[in-house]
Formats: sequence, C-alpha cells, structure tokens
Amino acid sequence: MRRARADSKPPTGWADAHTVARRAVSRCYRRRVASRRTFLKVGLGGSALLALGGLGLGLQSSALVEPLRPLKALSPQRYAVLAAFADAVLPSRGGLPKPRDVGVAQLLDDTFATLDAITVQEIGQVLDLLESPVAGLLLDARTRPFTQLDPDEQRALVTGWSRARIPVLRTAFRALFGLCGAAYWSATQLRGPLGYPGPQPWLLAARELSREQAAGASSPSTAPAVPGTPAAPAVPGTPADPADPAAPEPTP
Amino acid sequence: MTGFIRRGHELTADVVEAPDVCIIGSGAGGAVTAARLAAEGLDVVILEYGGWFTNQEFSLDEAVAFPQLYMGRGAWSTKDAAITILQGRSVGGSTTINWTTSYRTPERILAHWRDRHGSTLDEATLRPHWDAVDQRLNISEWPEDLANANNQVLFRGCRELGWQVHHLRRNVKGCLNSGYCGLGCPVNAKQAMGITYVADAVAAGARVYANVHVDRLVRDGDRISAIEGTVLQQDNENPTGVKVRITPRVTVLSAGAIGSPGILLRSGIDPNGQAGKRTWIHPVGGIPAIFDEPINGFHGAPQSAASHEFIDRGAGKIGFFLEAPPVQPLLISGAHSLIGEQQADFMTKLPHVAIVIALAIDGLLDSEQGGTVGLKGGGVPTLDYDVGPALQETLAASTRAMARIVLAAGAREAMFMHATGPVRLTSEADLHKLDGLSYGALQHPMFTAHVMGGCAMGSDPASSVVDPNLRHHHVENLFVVDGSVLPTSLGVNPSVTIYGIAHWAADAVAAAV
Repeated sequence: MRRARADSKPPTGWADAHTVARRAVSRCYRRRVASRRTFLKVGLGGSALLALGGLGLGLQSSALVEPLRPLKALSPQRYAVLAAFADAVLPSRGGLPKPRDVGVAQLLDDTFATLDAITVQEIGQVLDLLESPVAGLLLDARTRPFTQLDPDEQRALVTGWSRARIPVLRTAFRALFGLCGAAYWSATQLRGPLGYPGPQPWLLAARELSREQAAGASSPSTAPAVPGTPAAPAVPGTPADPADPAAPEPTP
Repeated sequence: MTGFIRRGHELTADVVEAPDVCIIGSGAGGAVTAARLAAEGLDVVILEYGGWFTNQEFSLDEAVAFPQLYMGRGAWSTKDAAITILQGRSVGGSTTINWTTSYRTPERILAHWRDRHGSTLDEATLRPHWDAVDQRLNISEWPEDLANANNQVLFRGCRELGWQVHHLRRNVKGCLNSGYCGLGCPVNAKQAMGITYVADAVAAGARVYANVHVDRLVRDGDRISAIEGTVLQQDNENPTGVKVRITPRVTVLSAGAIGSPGILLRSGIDPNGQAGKRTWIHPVGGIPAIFDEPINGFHGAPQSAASHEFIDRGAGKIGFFLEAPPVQPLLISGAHSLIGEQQADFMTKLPHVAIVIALAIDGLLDSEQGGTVGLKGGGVPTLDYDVGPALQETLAASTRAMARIVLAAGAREAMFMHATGPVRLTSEADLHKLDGLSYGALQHPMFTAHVMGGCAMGSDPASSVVDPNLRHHHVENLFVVDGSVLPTSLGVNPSVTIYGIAHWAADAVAAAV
C-alpha cells in the first residue's frame, strides 16, 4: 500500500494552497531539471521558470508610474516593475537622492535601447517574473503583483530572491541589482554623497592642453587620418590637488 | 593606399574590399598583427565591432564611458549573471580600458603549454617580440612610491604577513597618475592600441572600419572566401543599412575570447566541436575594507602592486594572485549585494574603502573544463562558466588571504559580501566567520577582466582550434590571433602575452598570403 504522505492532504486554506504550489514547483523542478548545476546552466535566457512570468500578468493591474520622458525600450508595465525594484534595493534615507529622482529606471530604459533585442527580451522576462501574480503565488506566497506590494513587502521579497534556493531567482536578482546599482551610483548627483570628486580639474586641464598641442603640432606625416592621437603631453608643474593623495607625480 | 579609420555613420555606401589580409578586431591581438603586416607592405583591412573614440572624446564619467567602451554596454556577465565581464569594445579593444599592468607570460605557463598542449612557444622565441613591444609601448617599471593608498594596502598587508609582493610594469608614457585608465586615458599616456599599433598600421595604409558587426565568415571548402558584416550605429546595435563584404586572401580572427569563437560558431565553422570550449577567465573575488584614514582609491594608477604568494598551492589546487582595482562608484556598486540602508552605509564610505582582489588561475588542472562560449538567439555570443568545487575551494582560500591582508594593513573592518549578508571582520580572531560559508557563483560578487581561451592553440586537432602557428586546423587561410588561443589562463594579466604572440605570429600570417 502506498504510504500516506503528510503533504498529500487536501489544502484547507491559502497557506496550504501555497504549500502545495511550492511542492508542485519543486517536483517539476526535480523532474525537469536533473541537477542544480544543469539548472544554473539554463541561465537567464531559456529558463522554463521564466515562462511563469508571462502568466497572469493581465489578472491584476500593475501600479504604473509616469516616466520622465517617453520610453524607448520598456513597456510601461516593465518600466514600473523596474522602478519599483530600484526603490526596493537602493537606499532611501535622507541625504541621498531617491532612485526615482535620479531616474534609475529611465536611465536603464535608455541603456536597453542600445542593447541587442535578445538581451532586452531576457531582461523583460525577468521583470515579468517579478510582477506576475501567478509566479508570485508559486514562488513567494503572494497574489498581488510586485508593484502593488507595499515598500516593506517589496524589499523583503527582493531580499529573499538575493539568497533564494532556486538559482534562477538569484540570477534574476543579481542581473537587476547590478543594473540598478550601476545606474544610481554612477549618476553625477551621487558624487557629493559618495565623497567622490570625479576627475581632477588638473586632469581636464591637461587633456585640454594635449588637444591644443596636437592642433599646433599636427603634421601631415604622422598618421593624418587618425584624429586625436598626439603623444602624451608634457605637463610640467601640473597643479596638484592638495586633497588628493594621488596627485600627479613626475613620470619616472 | 591611404590608411584611415572610419566610423559607422561615416560609411554611406556598402564597403567592398579585397585586401591581402582582413583582421577582425583591433585589440591587443589584431592591432599588433595589423601593424606588422602593414609594415611589410601587405594591404590590410581591420573590422572593429566597437566605435572609435579619441582621448578628447573619452568621457571620464562612468555612466557614459561604460556604454561607449565596454562589451554589453557595460552590462555584460556570464549566462547566469554570476560573473560580471569587463571586456573592451572600441578601436583598441580592451587595451583602451585596461589598467595597464604588463607582465610577460611566466615560463611555467609556457612549459605547461608545450608539455600538455603541443605549443612550440618558449621564452627565447618570444623574447625579441616582447622586447620590440616593450619599446613601442614604453612598458617600464612603475615605482612603488607612485602607488596610491589602495595599492599601498596590498604592499603593506603582504609585508606584515611576510608574503611576497612586488611593484608592476605598465605601458604608459607621461602618466599623470590620475586613475582613469578604465575609462580611456584622457591624455594618451596609456599606450593603448588605438594610438600605437593601430595608428602605425593606418600610417602604413591599413583601413579600419569601426562599428562593424561581422555576421559570418563565408567558408568555401577549406578556405574563407568572404567576410560579411553589417555597419552599426555608433550608439546602439541598430544597423545603418550599410553592408560590408571583404574578400581577403587571408583572414585573421582577433575578436577576443568570446567574440572569436562566437564568429566561428555563427559561421558554422566548428568541425571538431572545440570552438568556444575551455574558456578561462581568472575568476575574481574581492574583499572591501574600511579604513579610518582616507584611501581615495578612485584616483591614482589603478594597479601598482601584486602578490604571487599563492600562485602555486600544490597538487590538485588552483592558485591565485592578488592585485587591486580602481575604487570608482560604478565598479564598486557591483562589489556587494547590500540592500537599502546597508548599501548606503557602505557606498558613502567610498573614500575610506580599500579593495584587494584575488584572481584564480584556472585551466591548469586536468579536471577543469572552463567556460563555454555559445550562441543565444540572434547569434549573440554568451559565456557559460561553471564555478566547480576546485574553484570554490580557491575562492574560500583567497577570501581568507585577502581578509588577512587588509587587516594586517590596518583596516578597521574587512567585509566579505556574501549573499546571505555581509561578514564583518575586525581582527584575525574573526577569520573563523569565513569558514563554512558557500563560495562560488551567486554566493558573492565575482567578475572577470581577463577572458582567455575558446580557440585554443595545440597540435591535436581533436582538442584545439588552431595549430601551434595559430592557423585554423581545418581552414587554411584563417588564423586566430588573440587571447582566445591561450590553452589555459596565465596567472598574470594577459595583455603582454597577447601582444607578444601576435608580434610573433605575424610572420606566419604574412607567409600565408
């Protein structure tokens, strides 16, 4: 006789429904993918799990946000998910600009417009997976889209993905986290809070000097068709930045 | 014929050329090869996937420079997003954005290649080529007293521990020690390919077409009969509508260790199934540390110090070497997985952050398979890299070594950015916190700046792509000359290895014309 299993009793409520769903995913995961390593190799692009992201997106509406300017690569829904993810992972304390003030999602939309279509599609699938209530039911015990969660719930969810047992969720987290962090912290308005002064003024002056030297010394005999390739300028007495321990030194 | 560099938007009519040699890629391999061939009077065309930017056009703003000068517009990683890939894409390739560290290939690596892969390369063969490259690129000693505080941490920590540490050689002339090597040298002090060997090739008549995506090599029996490409916009992947068709006598593939196997696979040229196999990346882990005093690691030459204390860890173990990175905002934003307030606390300490990195020397153990370059939809190449048990052991050992270095150097706190939360260490008594953690893909941030292999040179056609003279085993007028031919990783930064091999291989390419 087949031994009764604790997980075979019928679900009696939401928590049980979620438990059953998780086990279904787990069984599917074990059956369809031979090992964790194989699953990792599926990567972002071909993961069967990502197909979940396409399910249920129309069941509940996303909380859309108004882009700062017309979108180039993302749909309004995916833009809203990305903006919400950025809010969830990036800092929100006083003294630092908010991700939306920096325009993180908008900057990334600009970047996506420069990428190949396949890569943009993969990123879109990840955003759909995050937003889908069907995927949310199976993976995160939630029925609301990501954009409809409150900020604490969003942050808890993405934290869970960052250390999830299912590798593709960590892959998804890492991909979106890297994009958002790069867009936010490289923005010039973050230089003050970072304590990062940017390029030294004397460096910009030295570059300008090299341009003038190149213009003055241009000779038709030195690779005339390759613009902007002067020898490095001699910059004697380049002013040192007293606040900068790596101020210019004479070249050995 | 008059040489030139043309950008994609400057090309208004289809490009049709029949040179002696077409070189695909203008980085360390392609540029040196082109200059040598052009100097011998051969007619050379170079196709470059990236754009062409002069020092006046380099943005010193990471948000602009990464999309301009890096593969994947700065958003590139292994297939599972676990390992960020820093690889250049512009005229000059990765030499435009590398950190200038210049090492010749260690003899122990050349010996391994001879013993295990049928390579003929030895130090005596390469020495005259390296000497010539040293002279052209002004590769010279970079004294320790020019090291910024971030690199001084590595010097100081190693010495406190009694570990080997040394200063570096760099390919710079008139360096102002500003720290912007990774964004394109603003004053042309870095002797990158764009202003040296590419310029030499152009002066000798070579034509460089930038913003050209090579769609495929057309194979006709045992020869390449044509190269077909598409001209792209400078700022995105959209075609301008202009097509490229080159019919050279000899083709040289120098598109790097992801691009070169990618083009072979896209062209259906993989008769033995080896294209893209055994790709090595010097997988990098790091330890950030907080110091009471300012470090300002965003300024000053990115790399001035290295330790080879752990390059040989005994049989069955993968060695590693230790260096330092530039501590600039965009790069460091990916060096952790901190969320919210924790992220703010860490990032706003940037001027006080020092970082040591450890690069694993992959490819020397028989058990290692390395990464695999494949194609996803649209023929876009992608790298799948599995961090196996031997590498996980190395990552654990190197993390411990890095933590000891920064603590010995006086850090207030070392941080290991594990996915389950940062592990904070304030003294050696805390090292036990690193025990029992999981190491490897998606467990902590990792990156690579050295992509090698994938079109390995070797005497056995069953296990390599090109022969010991870098000619394709199955296509007689096709050579591969770039980092993809390396049978293993190196244990040192790869640029000078590639320069030297290209300088040497140019004779064989010329003889094939």
